[in-house]
Amino acid sequence: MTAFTTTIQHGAERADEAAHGEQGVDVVHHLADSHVLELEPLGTFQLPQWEFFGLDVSITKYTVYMWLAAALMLLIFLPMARRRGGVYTGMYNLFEALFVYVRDEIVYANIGREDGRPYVPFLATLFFFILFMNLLGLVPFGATATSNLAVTGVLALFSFIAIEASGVVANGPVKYARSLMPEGIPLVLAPVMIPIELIGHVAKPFALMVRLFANMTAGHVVILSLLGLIFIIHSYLVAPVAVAFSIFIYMLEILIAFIQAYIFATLTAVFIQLTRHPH
Amino acid sequence: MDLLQPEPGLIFWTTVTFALVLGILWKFAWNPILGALEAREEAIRKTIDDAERLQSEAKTLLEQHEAKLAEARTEGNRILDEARQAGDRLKGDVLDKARTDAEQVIARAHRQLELETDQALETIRNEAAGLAIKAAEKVIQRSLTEDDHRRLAEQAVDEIARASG
Repeated sequence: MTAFTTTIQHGAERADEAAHGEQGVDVVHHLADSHVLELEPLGTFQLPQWEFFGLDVSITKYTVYMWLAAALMLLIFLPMARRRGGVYTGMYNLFEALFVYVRDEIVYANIGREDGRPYVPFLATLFFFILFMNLLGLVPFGATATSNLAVTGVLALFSFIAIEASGVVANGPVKYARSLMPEGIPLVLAPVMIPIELIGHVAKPFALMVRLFANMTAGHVVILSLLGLIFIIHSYLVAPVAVAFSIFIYMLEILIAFIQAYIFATLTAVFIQLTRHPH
Repeated sequence: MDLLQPEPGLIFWTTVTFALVLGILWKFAWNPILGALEAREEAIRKTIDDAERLQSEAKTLLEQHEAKLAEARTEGNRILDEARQAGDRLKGDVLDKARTDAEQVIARAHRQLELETDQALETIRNEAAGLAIKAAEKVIQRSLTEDDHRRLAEQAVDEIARASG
């Protein structure tokens, strides 16, 4: 009888602990933006909350890491631009190689050497901004700003503007507007064709937005779920397996950080080329 | 905060941050880096072109020099052959001349010897005649008989004849 009670009590304690443990690895809490910078064990920092004409423009966790990415870009590429002559070594070569890769394999390969040159600055900024934000999510205490729809949405909006602008610049506004209604299609179909074309134009950046957000969120969800298993199953035996798997996923995430930055920039370049030469 | 709910603050800050980074890097980083890269690529291409051109030039120069060297070598050999032939010819001439000179000298010496021999014989003959005469005088002074005279004269003549023979 006593043994039974103990078991029950113990079980209740366990359930209590498990519930507490689940709170400790709350996946949504970890991935959602917040007004607090959690830098345990250094403590938590409350970020300022501002309003601007009734708009909530508080500095949040993701804002901080986005600024960190922006600062890193400025710190790396501004000195790189001032460098003249001499022997190039170390970090310089790393980022120059990345930049040349963006230039040759993303921009020139899709838009062409002559036509692509004006698009290099925009696509390079896009690539490195996304890459740095992705990688900052993988450092301790870091947060992946790109696992937020607002961030990826704004980046996709910039892509959308660049894509449409390139179409207008390359073809002129009239010819570009006419590309919504491809030649050789009966006028009767206009009410169908034009909305489809418009949806196509909007769907491209929308896909960019969702793809980046989903990919960057998914990796974190998987890692946190794997680690969460330890707290839910409540056994040390799970820990080695869960940690091993989460390390594997972490490695995968490093790869994904590069791949997603590459895909975002490459698809933008492809769409730019498509709108430059409509049908 | 909801995971799928875009925050207006984050939208605002992302727009501002991206626009600023894009603007700053466009003006102060991407275009200068792009320019520097293109300049460097152009310089490398030019250097390689120059090197290739110089190499081909050096090659043709080397070929020219080798041709010249071969030419000079055959020329040298030809000159050497000619000199050798000339030397051989000269040696033959000199030897021939020396031989004829020697022969002339020898012939002259022979002639001289004969001449001197003849003179010597002449002298001896004269001397012998003189001596015979003197001997005859002495014998005569002692007033020999006629037989003695004859015998002596014959004897003298025999001697002379033997000496000259």
